[in-house]
Amino acid sequence: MSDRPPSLSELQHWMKWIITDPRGTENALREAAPTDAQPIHRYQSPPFEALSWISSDSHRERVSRIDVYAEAYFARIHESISLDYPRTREFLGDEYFMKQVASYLKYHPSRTPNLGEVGLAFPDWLGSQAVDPWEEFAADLARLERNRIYAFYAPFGPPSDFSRLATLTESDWASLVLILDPSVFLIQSSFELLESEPRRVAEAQSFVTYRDSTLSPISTSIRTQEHFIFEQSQKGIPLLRIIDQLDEADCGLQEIFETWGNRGVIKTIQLETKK
Amino acid sequence: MLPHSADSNSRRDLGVGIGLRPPHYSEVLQQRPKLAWFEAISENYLTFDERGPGAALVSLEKIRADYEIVLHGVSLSIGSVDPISVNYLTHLKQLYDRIQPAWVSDHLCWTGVQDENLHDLLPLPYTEEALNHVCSRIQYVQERLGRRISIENVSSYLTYTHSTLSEWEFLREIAQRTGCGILLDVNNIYVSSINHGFSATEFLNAIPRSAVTQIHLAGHSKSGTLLVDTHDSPVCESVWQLYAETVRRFGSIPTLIEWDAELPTLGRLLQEADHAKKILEETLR
Repeated sequence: MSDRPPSLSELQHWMKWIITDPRGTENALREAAPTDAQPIHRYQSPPFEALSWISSDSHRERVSRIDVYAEAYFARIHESISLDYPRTREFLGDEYFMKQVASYLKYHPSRTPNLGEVGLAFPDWLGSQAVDPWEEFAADLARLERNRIYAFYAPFGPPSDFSRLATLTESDWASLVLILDPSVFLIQSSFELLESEPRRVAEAQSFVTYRDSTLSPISTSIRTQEHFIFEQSQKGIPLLRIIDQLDEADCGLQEIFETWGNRGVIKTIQLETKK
Repeated sequence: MLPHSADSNSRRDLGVGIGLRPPHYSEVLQQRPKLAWFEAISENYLTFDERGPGAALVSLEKIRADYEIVLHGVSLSIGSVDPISVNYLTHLKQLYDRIQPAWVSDHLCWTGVQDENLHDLLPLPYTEEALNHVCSRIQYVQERLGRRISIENVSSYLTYTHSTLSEWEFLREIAQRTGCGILLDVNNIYVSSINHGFSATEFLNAIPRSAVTQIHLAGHSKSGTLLVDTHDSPVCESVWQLYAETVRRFGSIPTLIEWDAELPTLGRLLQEADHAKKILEETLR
């Protein structure tokens, strides 16, 4: 390394490396890059002389000044993900949760201006690492919590309006499509996710998350038929065609309309236009 | 370059405001506190995937109906060597069009490189290269957004040996070259003056009066031998004194209380704003 001052680009690339190296500032500056660490691009052999770019008379002070940024980098993202996934954190315990966030961050560094979006891939990261049932439960729990974030930030749908139901002709029913609120998000799991401990269930459980009239996200379990109707409706499939695919002749359509219409999950109806 | 007078909205004397944080939305909407304005963090209302702006923006719009809103960004990364994200600027402009903020701002720093965001306000070296780089980017951003922006001095915990300008010379120069406003963070001046051993008064004296659009006040904490801009506590006495000195030099400038971590009640924040108002009035009397 020459004595010339670094360009802005050289300085920023070096700073980014030293702030984000998973070994921590001092170790990253002292050790050659490990050959077996993953992902390998996160680890570099230190261009040690670059530390002289930081003003100070002492090595120790330079490191402690960089440490303020290195520690804040992890702490800020850890805090954001902790706030987004409180039940997952509680279930996994603080220490294990923190380790998972650290691993996640190595593979999923933030590429968004919005700190609140950094943890959106965290549930799938947990899922990809899951070996034991309790880890699968944690991943599904995190997915349910992510649906709450999606629900909160979803766009607003049309106002509730079912007046058209009264004027439908018999032929209209074949093309009737349920319009759900954009805040509706669905998940299926082999665990009872509303309980605090993992309990595997014989049949996959369905859960819907939506934003209520006070703008709060609500998560609740739903019947498999309801899940199927909501999921297919989100794809624009007409209601009668959905019902034809259900095993049970009576899926409780009247009750579904009343319950989910009142809660603002089903917002309105429209007739599928022929293409 | 936009001259200082090109955007008449960029310096309106709105008095003292507070930072708007999501836990206070409902209280603000119910209590309608006596304030002229709030400052909101732009990125809290931007989503960068297919999802829409959602409930947070609806709350902001409701508050906007009764108050002036100033939008303050944290991810412009004006000093980064990465290209400026056109996608980010497009989202930002859409937000500005929707909220019609009194003015807008971001920081004199870089927040990431190689397409990674470190979500921190990292200090720049104060060199000619960095000055030219930052000025050209501010001009580009102002043209793209069609408005003047204000740039805030950050707290810093390190400096670079190859800097050839002081922070205040650098800040003054970018304001003069680009016509951008200066958001003077008095707490940041204090924190950096302690961390790097410079005179806060010298900093203030170098800043041109006409460029200052807003003042920030916040709490900080101590970490070892350094002060850290944590926004987790009340404004300390030394910063209140520096604020009075700032008011004596610059006159009545819109002032904002920032508080992010260990967020207190809305009432406590309003007390802090009242204290700033008292200092402002007493100093100008």
